[in-house]
This record gives sequence, structure tokens and C-alpha cells, in this order.
Amino acid sequence: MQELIVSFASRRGLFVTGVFVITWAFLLFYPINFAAQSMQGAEGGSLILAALDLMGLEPLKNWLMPEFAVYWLVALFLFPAFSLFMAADQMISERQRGGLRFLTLRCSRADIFFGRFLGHMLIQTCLLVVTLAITYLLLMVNSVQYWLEGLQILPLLLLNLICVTSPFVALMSLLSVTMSSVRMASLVSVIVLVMGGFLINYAASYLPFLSILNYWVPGAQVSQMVMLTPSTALLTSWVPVMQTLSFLLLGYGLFKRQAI
Amino acid sequence: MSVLIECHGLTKVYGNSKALDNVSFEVQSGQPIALVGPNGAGKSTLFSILAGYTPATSGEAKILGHNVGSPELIGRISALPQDALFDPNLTISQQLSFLARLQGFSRRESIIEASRVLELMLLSNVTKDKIGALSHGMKKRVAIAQALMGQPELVLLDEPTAGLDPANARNIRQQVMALAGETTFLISSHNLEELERLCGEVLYLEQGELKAQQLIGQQATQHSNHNTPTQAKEGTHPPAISYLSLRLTTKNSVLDAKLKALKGVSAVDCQQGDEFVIAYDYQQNPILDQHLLLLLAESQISYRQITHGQSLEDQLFRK
Repeated sequence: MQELIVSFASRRGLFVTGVFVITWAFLLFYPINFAAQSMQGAEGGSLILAALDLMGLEPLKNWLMPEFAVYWLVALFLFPAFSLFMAADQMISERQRGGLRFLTLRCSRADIFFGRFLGHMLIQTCLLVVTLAITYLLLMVNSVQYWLEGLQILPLLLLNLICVTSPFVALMSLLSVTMSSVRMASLVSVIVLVMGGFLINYAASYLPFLSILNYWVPGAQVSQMVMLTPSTALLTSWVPVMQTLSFLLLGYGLFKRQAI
Repeated sequence: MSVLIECHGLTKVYGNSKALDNVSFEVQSGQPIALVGPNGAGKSTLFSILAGYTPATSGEAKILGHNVGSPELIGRISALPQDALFDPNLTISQQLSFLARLQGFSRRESIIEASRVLELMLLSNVTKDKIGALSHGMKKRVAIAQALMGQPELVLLDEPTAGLDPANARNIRQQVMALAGETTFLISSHNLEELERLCGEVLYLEQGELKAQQLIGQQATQHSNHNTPTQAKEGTHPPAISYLSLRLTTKNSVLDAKLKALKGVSAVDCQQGDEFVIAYDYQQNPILDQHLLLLLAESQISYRQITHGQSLEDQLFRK
């Protein structure tokens, strides 16, 4: 609860939340709503379907509920990106001003580290639930006959998106321990995500066994997940789960010995 | 009384410099303990290690029989960390009640506990304020308030009255004295008079080494780097030489010789002409204080203060 208050009480927390709300309000009521209506219609639909073909996203055409198809496509990329910024300051500011010293005499470092991670995952889950609920409302407005199918797909989408987001939040947990400023942590996370795959592939061209490191680049499985239905996509969940555990264990190992 | 803190060969290295060098000591629970030493002596480093904020490079530190930082100590020790600040986005009350909840208080109890400690620090009027709205001294008092939450067995106070106005510094001394029966305080400060009034024992650090450990008012036990805690405690037996400290209202150049003539007096050290430390054999003259008063009355010399024993400053720094 304190995590929620802290996240939304700070100026930075309010700013990131504000950006999130505006972005998602725009996405839900314009592109997602428009795309969903178009895919159902005759004229506009052909354009959207052609665009999906062009992007190699043909499987999305087979979704019964286009609102959720477009939501799935957008959320798979946007939620991890937002989580990087929302979860960037899990401990850095507090460590810099010495505030962690008030906590460590009252709870273990494991409680603090994993508690912060879980707190931020709770925030992400709340945001996912809100956006899913609004998407469901859109479905009710556009295709009320699919109310039951919509309810059935909601938990699958939620579970998948929680799994996809968790390694990004865990990466920020790790960077919260190792970086000395929020800006630096955000910058390094972007470098890891953008350059990580490239550097690993370059290194693997000389030492092929290094290609296994690709499994530790958060979001490595997302492009594959877009092509799958939520139930099938759950089969790829071992990748983000493994990444999350790796980042958390490494981060906690460092935090346990860190001077605060 | 039981062993509260045990340190064996505690060493902390930052880069090329040793902040603590093979520090070993034991202290018992009970009266407040003073930690003194010049700037850079390693006081804050020792505090940080004892509070579990930073790990020692080598050596061992135990509190209440448990290694520092172990879960068994959670809620049993608390600290005023130097230069630590609260979250600027939350109110004082929100933050203190959150800390109280971490200590095991219920939601309702935590609010009551936060109010209680703020009241102890005379800060009941700022509960709804954010930390940024407070002065430096008030921020420090809020930090002391958090250290007094619950019923800790050991409270580490790093420079508790530095930067506080006299009235609030006095209030903190009073709170420490009031709680001293149930909680042991380890207090780091440069204010030796304050420590002398509050504490029963002193640890003196210099350049990372423990130079002395003694009961206040008794002869110092000089430490070497290889002293064991047992050796340290053995040195706190009552001394053969006793002291009286005398402070006059005005300087007097002839009193020195008269003092030396009193029965049992072995040495008189005069400072600035108005302060005298008289070393004497208690067995030979147990009522020297009465003789001294008679001498002052006969010589028509007015005095400001007569104290049994040496001041902490004299004990630690007089060569």
C-alpha cells in the first residue's frame, strides 16, 4: 500500500501515471476502437487487414474480438516500455537520501528488495486490469454478443501481460541496486534492451555459445507472442519467468552486501 | 546486566584508508555509552557497521548475541542515522506510522505510536507537514523520534544534539535519561559535557583505533590494537588515585601552593588560572572536599563549581 502511495504521491510518479493515462485513453478510444470497428466492417477493414498482412501479423485477423486483438498487439509492447519508467526508482532516490536506513532496522533487506518488486508489479497489474476493463467495455459497445468470450479471454490476457512485464520490472529492481541515479538506470535499461540483442548476436558470431544470452534480453519472446493466441502464448512464459528470477536473484545478491 | 555489544578485530577499509583498525571491545546493557573521537576517527563507520548499514571488511560485531544485520535484531535496535532524510512526498505522520507498522504495530496503534514519539520530541504540531517544510533541527528531531518508536533494547544516536537549539538539545537529553532504564543508548557526540552528564561509560576512537574504554569518572584503560575485550573490561577497577575538580569565579595565582599543602594531595594541575584538577589519595584523606571548602572560605576565594573526579575532557585528553 505504501508503495502505491509513494508511487503516486511523488511528482515523478504523477507525471509517469499522467502520461500513461493520456496515452492509453488515446489508444483505447481512437486506434483500438477504430481498428476494431474497421476490422468488422467491409471497406476500412480490408485496409487494416492488409496492414496486418504487411507486418506479418496475419494470426491477429483470426481473433473473434478485434478489440482484444489490437489491445494484445499494443499492450505487449507498451506495457513493458511503461514499466521501465514507472519502476525505475524502486530504491535509488531513497538510498541516495539515506531513507533505506530507517527501513533496514525494521525489516530484512529481502523484505525491502522483493517487497519493492512486488509493489511495482502490483501497480502494473492494477493498470493492466484498468485497461483490460476499458477494452471490455469497448467490446460491449461494439459487439455485445461476445460478452462471454470476452470474459473468458480477460484472465489469459492479464496473466500473459503480467508475465511479459515482470522481467522489465525485475531489470529495474536490479538497476535500482547498481545505479546511482534514476536517469542513469532508465538510460542503461534502454541500452540493455536496444543494444543487448545486437551485442549478443555480434559476440555470438565469434563465440556461438553466447547466443544463449539472448534468453536474458527482456521481451525476447514478445515478437513471437504477437503471433499466438493468449492461451498458446502462455507456453512461452518460462522465458520471462526465468529472466525475472535471474534479475531478482542477482539484484538481491548485490543488495544484501551493499552499503546503504 | 548482560553483554550488549561485542566487537572483535573490527576493521573497515575504504580504498587505501582504514576507517576502523582492528577495534575490539565489549559493552554491557544499562547506562548510556558515549562514543567520542575527533572528526574522521571512525565513529560513524562504527555506527554504520553496528546498525548493519555497511559490512565490515573483517572482524566480527555482535549485538545481544546476534551478528549485526541478522533478522533476530529487527525491532530490537534502532538508530539515528547521520544525514538520512525522510521521503519528501509523504507527511511525517504517514512515514512514522508506516515505520511503526513495519515494527509490528497495527494500523491504529501505529498512528498512536507516531503521535507519541513526535510528542516526545515536542513536534505534535507538524504531524501533517512534509519533511521539506521543516527546519534542519526539526528534521533531526523527527529522525530521533523514529529511533524511539517501539521498545528497542539498543538505540544508536549519531550526533543527536548537533545543530539543535539549547532547549531542544536539553529535551533530548531528558528523554535519553528518562528511557535509560529500559533502553541502552550508544551516543556519538563532540559535546563532552553532554556525554559526561548522560553516559556511564566512554569509548574513545582516534584514527580508526580504539584508544580507550572507561567508566566515566575513572582512570582510562589505554587500548592497543591487540587488546581483547576482556582486557579492556579488566581496566575499569576503581583507581588508587582520586580527583577533585575545582573551578573558581576569578583567576588565582596563589591557590596552587595552598592546595598542594592539603593532606593527601599528590598533584595539582592548574588550567588558565581558574581551573584546578587535584589528584589525591582517598585512603589518606577521604574528606579532602571538606578541607578544600574550608581552605576556600579561609582564603576568601569564591568558587563556581567543585566536582568529584575529572571531567571527561580531562580524562581523555590530559596528558
